[in-house]
Amino acid sequence: MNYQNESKELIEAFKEEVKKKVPIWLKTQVTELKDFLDELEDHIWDKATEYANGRDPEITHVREAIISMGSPRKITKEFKTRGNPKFFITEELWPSYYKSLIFGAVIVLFINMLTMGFDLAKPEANIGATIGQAFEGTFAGFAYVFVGMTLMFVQLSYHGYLPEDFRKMAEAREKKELLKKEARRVGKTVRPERTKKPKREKSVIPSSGSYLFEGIMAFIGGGVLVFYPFIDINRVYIEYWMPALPGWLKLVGGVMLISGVIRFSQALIGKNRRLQQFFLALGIIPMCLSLALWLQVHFNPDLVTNVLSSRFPATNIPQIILAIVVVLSILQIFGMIDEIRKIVKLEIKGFEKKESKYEKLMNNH
Amino acid sequence: MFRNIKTYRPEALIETARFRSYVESFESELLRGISTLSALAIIQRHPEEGVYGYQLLKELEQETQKTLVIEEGTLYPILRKLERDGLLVSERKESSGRPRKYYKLTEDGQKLHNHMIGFFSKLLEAIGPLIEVDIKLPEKKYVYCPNCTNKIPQSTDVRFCNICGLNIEGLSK
Repeated sequence: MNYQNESKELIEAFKEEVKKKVPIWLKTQVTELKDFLDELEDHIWDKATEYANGRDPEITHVREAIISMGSPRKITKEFKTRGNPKFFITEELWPSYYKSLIFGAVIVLFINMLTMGFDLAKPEANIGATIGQAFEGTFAGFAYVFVGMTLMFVQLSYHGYLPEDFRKMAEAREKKELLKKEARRVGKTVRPERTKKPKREKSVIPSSGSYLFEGIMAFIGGGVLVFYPFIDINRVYIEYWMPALPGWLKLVGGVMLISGVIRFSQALIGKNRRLQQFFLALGIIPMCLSLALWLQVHFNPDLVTNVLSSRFPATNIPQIILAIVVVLSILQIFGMIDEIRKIVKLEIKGFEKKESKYEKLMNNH
Repeated sequence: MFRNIKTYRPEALIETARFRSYVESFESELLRGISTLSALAIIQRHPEEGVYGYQLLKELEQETQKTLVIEEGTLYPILRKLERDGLLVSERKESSGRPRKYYKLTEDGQKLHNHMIGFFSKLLEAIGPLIEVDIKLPEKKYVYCPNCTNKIPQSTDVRFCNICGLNIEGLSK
């Protein structure tokens, strides 16, 4: 490989590293991101040429020029300083935050009121209790929307998102759709530009972002199961055929909520090894509870087995349920083992910084 | 944005973990605004052809006798922010066989730059006695708006501050 190619490879690796670290809002603006990376490259070549006293730069000059650029983390940090902080959420995002809260609240209200309507329509309805239940569900829903949205907007503010980024994303999507439609019209297929992605090594534990996502999902799922807003629609059926099911669903919801709290905590902790290990260990408890609950489906025929057996007498329902329970239980056990593996790996490796291609190249030269 | 090029003896007070981070965060807070101001000041000098990032840094280095040394990559996010905020416009042009992005001040950018420079100058003048430095503003050349500290050249026939609209007629010398 000649010097020129090596230099190009080094610059490409640097650009790739910068690209990885830019905030999500910039990643979505493909043209702007490319322009920014090209500008960095122009600068590196200028600087390297200066180091080479006006001659064609060699790899060492390029390396020096890259060092003078500063670390990719520092460069991209400048993008994250967008927006004026106001109680953890930037001032610019507050209007969108309000709108999202209102939108979420309206949906919660709609679901609860619809359920109340169905319930009140029943002849045996206890009006006071039904209304009380509906309000309880509504306020619990509000609390969920508030917590979920707040966490999401805090995260967006941290990444320097601004409202215009959402607009640009929507515009880009529209443009893409139009292009697709146009291509379909003229009978051609449009393939998205394929870029060769470098193979990424897996980190010891998932990122804060994915923990946050898991937490939000667990909160939503758990909340729905605990407060189960649709139960009144089919209460008579459930109470007659599957009397144990509502209680079981509430327990599943409760376990999901506990997992959600743990995931949120893990997202907030970040790279604190001891605390992460503590919460990974704590995460095994709801997994054990889940296992017990899956096994309950097999051991307690009142849950679903009896009703399904009476509905489908020709099928061997207990056998099918046993097979499902076994598979789910095995998955649950694997999940627990995986948590233990992460604890051990964290102990051995810590939050080991993986050497990126850029760092490898920089260290080699 | 500015690179700290200082090195100290290991036993120096500001080398201790506690003071080092304190001093570094103090310096970076202080320099954040100054970096924007300095970049705009250089760009202002090239109203016609504009200036590209590398050229800007070179000029800044020369003007400040290498006191302000920028971590070069961090300049570009700042330029882009200024462009998004409407203070700068950019254009890609070929120069010496290489494509470069040239930045120029917009009309609003020019006005805001004058205001920011005026504010910073008056601030320096005000704190001068506290830090025992003597700051003399070029008041024969410029009027500093008493309301918003906008820096207005004496030579121009301006009756009102173009930032806050204050009547400055009587202030010219």
